[in-house]
Amino acid sequence: MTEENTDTQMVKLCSSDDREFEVEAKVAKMSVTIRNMLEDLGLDNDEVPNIPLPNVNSQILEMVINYCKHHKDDVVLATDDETTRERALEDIDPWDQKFVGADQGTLFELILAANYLDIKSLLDLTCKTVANMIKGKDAEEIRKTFNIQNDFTKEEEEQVRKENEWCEEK
Amino acid sequence: MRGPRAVRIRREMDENRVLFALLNKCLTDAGLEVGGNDGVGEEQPNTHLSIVLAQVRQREYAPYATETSTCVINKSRDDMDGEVGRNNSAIKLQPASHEMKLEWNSRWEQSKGVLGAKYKRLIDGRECTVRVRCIAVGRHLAIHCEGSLPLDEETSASCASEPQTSDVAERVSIVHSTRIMATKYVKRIEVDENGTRITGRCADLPGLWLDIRNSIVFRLLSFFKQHVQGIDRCSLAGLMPELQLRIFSMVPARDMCALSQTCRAFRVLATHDDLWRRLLKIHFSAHVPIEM
Repeated sequence: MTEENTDTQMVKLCSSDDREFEVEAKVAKMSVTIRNMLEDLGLDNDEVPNIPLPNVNSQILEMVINYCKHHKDDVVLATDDETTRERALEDIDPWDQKFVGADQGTLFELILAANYLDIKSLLDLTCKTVANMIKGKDAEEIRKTFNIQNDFTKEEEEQVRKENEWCEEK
Repeated sequence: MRGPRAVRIRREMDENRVLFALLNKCLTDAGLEVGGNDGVGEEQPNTHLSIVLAQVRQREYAPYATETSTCVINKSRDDMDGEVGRNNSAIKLQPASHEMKLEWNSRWEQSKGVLGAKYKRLIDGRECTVRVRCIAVGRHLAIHCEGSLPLDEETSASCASEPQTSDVAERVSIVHSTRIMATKYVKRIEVDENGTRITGRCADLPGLWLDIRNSIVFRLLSFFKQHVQGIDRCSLAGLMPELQLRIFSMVPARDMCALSQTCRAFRVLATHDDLWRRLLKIHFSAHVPIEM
């Protein structure tokens, strides 16, 4: 019964650039990190707890909050086996697709934020999006897409190419 | 209801203070030289425990820098995150310090503690200033590293004689949090009658240092490395290895082969056994026993 009370309670989240966001505890608690912090703080009913999140800037925090609001009523399925994950790679729901559709910088910032805040579904979504960007590309295309420097020597490159020849033949 | 909770919060505050003092000790033991007063002026001395780590002694990076102090940056990521430093005595604590007494000023009152450390380091002739802040909320610790690096060599050279170098520096920050539970490391707490002195005993100092090393020292090293090499942390190459692995674990075999041909760091990651164990299951389940 107290569970319900604590869920409608508000919490303040403070971004790295000192902007405050007031959100329902239920939304904030989608982040395991925040949930743990709230539990640790052991709050009384009246106070609105203020959680500093020095890892996340306001732009990203706002996005994360939107994501959590959109998904707050999701039923968490306890299926985490690899086949589900594999299949899910193909179907990302349209809202989510749009959500992660921003530029690459934002996408990686979201990954870092999701990792820090420990929001599994968001971390999965963002990592999946990157995995989809990798799929179907050859090494050079991957380098281009993600701006990766080729630091192999000529000999090394030849060697790695040989190691991976079996894959090309398919 | 209020009574036990108040006691619990009080206790956690005390634990946190002991933890912070331990942290301080760990940083000092890491070979960081605690400097005088310069640079701490902006901190609030009443609520913040601040130390300035003005000069980093060579031995701090000894486990990573084998020949010169700058070669840290040239080491590859896998070296850095792997076995490095394991058998180096410089960062190990002496057995004698497993148990120690800590005492500190009662002015440092807040349950939300901030521990600040700042130091400078020359990387390829560029002076990098890094500030580390550890912020404790409840029993969680967020570690915030903020660094500034002169814009380029020319700027750095022209400003070398002037103290305002930082004005033209690019600022970058990397933050990450770690969950260091005070209770795991703090064994016994005694508070004297008037509550001004708290004494704590450490349960596992080497363990704490290991946590700190993984969460501060390694992060700082990758921070330095990335910025000298100009790698953006918000990019595939700049992500922490554990996140890269997570992404890699979602791509099929053919793409994994492509990934391993992109650069050295990815070659190491993309040939990780765990990834291939999974891929073998998926792609070759008919030919390979599933349980290996």
